[in-house]
Amino acid sequence: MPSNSDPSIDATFLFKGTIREVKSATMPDVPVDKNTVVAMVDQVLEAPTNLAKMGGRRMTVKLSGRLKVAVGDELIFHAHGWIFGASVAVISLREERVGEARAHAALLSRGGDPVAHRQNRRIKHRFTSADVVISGRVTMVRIPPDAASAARAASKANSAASTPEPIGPVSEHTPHWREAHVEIDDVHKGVHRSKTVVIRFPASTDVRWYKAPKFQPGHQGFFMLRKHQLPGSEPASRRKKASRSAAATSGTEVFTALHPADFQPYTQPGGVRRIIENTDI
Amino acid sequence: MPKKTTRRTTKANTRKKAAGPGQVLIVNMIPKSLSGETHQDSEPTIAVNPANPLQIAASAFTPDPSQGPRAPIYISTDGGNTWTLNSIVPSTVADGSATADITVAFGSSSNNLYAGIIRFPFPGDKTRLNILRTNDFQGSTTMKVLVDRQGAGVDQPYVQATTVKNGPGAGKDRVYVGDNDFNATGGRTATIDQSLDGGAASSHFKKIRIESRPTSGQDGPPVRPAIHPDGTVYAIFHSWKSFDGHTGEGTADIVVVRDDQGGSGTHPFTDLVDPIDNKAGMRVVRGAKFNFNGEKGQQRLGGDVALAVDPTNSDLIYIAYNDDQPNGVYALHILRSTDRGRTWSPELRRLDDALNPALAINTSGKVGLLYQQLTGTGAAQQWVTKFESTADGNAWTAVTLSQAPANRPVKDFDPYLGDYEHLMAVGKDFYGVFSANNTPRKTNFPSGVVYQRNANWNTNTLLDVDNVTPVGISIDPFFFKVTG
Repeated sequence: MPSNSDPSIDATFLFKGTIREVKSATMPDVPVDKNTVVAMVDQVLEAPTNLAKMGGRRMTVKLSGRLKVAVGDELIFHAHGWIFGASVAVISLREERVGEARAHAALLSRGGDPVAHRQNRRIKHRFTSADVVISGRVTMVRIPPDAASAARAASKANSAASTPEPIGPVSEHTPHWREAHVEIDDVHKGVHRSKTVVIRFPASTDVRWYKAPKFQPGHQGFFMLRKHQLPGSEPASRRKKASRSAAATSGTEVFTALHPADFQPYTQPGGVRRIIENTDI
Repeated sequence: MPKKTTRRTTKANTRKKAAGPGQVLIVNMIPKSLSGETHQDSEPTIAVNPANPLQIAASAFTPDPSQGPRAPIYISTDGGNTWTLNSIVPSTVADGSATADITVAFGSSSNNLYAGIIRFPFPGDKTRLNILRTNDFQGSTTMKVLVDRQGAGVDQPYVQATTVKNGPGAGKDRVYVGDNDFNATGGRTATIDQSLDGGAASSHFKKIRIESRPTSGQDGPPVRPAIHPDGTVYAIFHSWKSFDGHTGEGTADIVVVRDDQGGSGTHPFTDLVDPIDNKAGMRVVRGAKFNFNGEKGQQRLGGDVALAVDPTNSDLIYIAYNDDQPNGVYALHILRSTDRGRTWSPELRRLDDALNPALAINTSGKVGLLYQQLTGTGAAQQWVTKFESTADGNAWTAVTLSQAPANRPVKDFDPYLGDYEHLMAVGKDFYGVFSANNTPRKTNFPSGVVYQRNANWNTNTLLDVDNVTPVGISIDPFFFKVTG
């Protein structure tokens, strides 16, 4: 099932392997057809942590069907996981015969940590798909004014410090939005003319939101930002009156940084810093 | 570091115990190839295929181990002795596809597996309901999407299914998904999404709003249907009467609804009427206190309900619910009705600081109750998972499935153990699933346990796929079977 929006999660496991058996599997539960083979993983090239130690092990591969393969063939597989049991079965989206592509030599001799290679690919995708990439420092965190005013009206709270969440649908997945105000040091991608930016982030620790960066005053680093459509927001002409006070304090654009890789502290080397410095990752 | 584990010893003990009636099999469901995983695999559910009890599916907040585009379910084809993960659920997360909620259920003779999920991605905070189906849970084909709804958001889909045995509709799957649908008008959000032919090529689901009374603005998340083979379907839900957005405190009625024709009539789920206000839905308990912001032993609170119907007598049902009691006690209560929900027993059982109740009744009329209880104080607190059974509702026999420190591992997210777990009966046997601390220590599992993942039981250490490198403890799902 292609993800469309994010090709880096379609093929998450790149490895060089040798076909050992055809129409066969390493586990009894795997349905076997003409495209099911057993391969020896000769070299893991890019992998999530759970597959990084598959080198030297046999695994089941459901081939894409694009190539006719035989025992002994050496291939580079672009795959993602399928079945995890006593062994592992993966679905290959694409196979290439070793040596067919000029890039293979570089890929196979690259060395390094396959998990780091995958992580770098992820960060590169986040950078490419971000609307704006900035560096700066969080100066303030607060409940969004539009949420706070609605909540005050509903609960008659007395102080901003104790302002509760907005009254609306209550579920365990409620994000509990907060705003981080960031003083910008530099804009590395996109256009942002103000010297500050507001990042809306979920304070919730629910399974839906826990991985999103939780900002605190003093956080400094790189922020890969996406423009955020506020839930229930209407076109500008219709919401003019309702959002006037919020816009005055929060700015007209709200961004999010919801992926764990969307914030990288200055103290952390590599990652987005290398992209910005135009270093090949 | 010794490589040898005591898995064989533990397995042998369990095998010996699992041979006769009342014996217990417990299996850590994390497969050997994922021995290095440390994810918080909480909130499990289970579905045994009644047509072939060797086939079992289960779910939890387990992400796709390969960070691929689909979320996994757990599958077993040997009655729960061994488990694998199969990523066939259409829900995509960039760094490990999972769902925000998931439950599973088989049709009783169709071999169709259904799932109710909160699907990723969903923009903003409007949760996206999907109802899914597959007739090959071992295959590689993505589960088919039967319902895809977002709008104002839908919460906590809880699926149950059956296959009609006789009469009109024989052979068709009836599928009931209890959920809290914020698209409902007037704050009456408790909903059953129902299909009377869920196995059809283009199955139709009807939204049934089962809340008949004004609410505080919405109902609570749990809406739990339970099906009897004669066509009777019950559901229990948390009808919110007051809610303070500042404190999270509220009050709720515990309401049971019933439909005697499986929801096929013109006014579904209105067959049980409360004589006090003549509205559909019996208010079994009124004004139960809850705190949506509450927490105990790293586990969030907020309202638990469960219901089971006797497969031999659709008049007989048991319910479980929680409420806040004085001195911070979160109490679990068990009640029974023998007249289709019209009148109710006094409290049959109360367990303080116990939650995640799951109920089932087997074909011998024995009632099973699964729960997780916080015991002890301070750093010595433990989460104890127990299965209890009774033939009459009065004398209960308890089996401890797991007991482990409540402060370890430190939670990564909410819910720590799950907002629910699951128990069901097929024939005389009970099948269940719970999530717990996975430290390989024998005293944590007094009824025995089988680990698929690598572990050294002498040093109480989990080991990676190389069977050498130590792995940190985490929350794992555990399957269990109590032989009837």
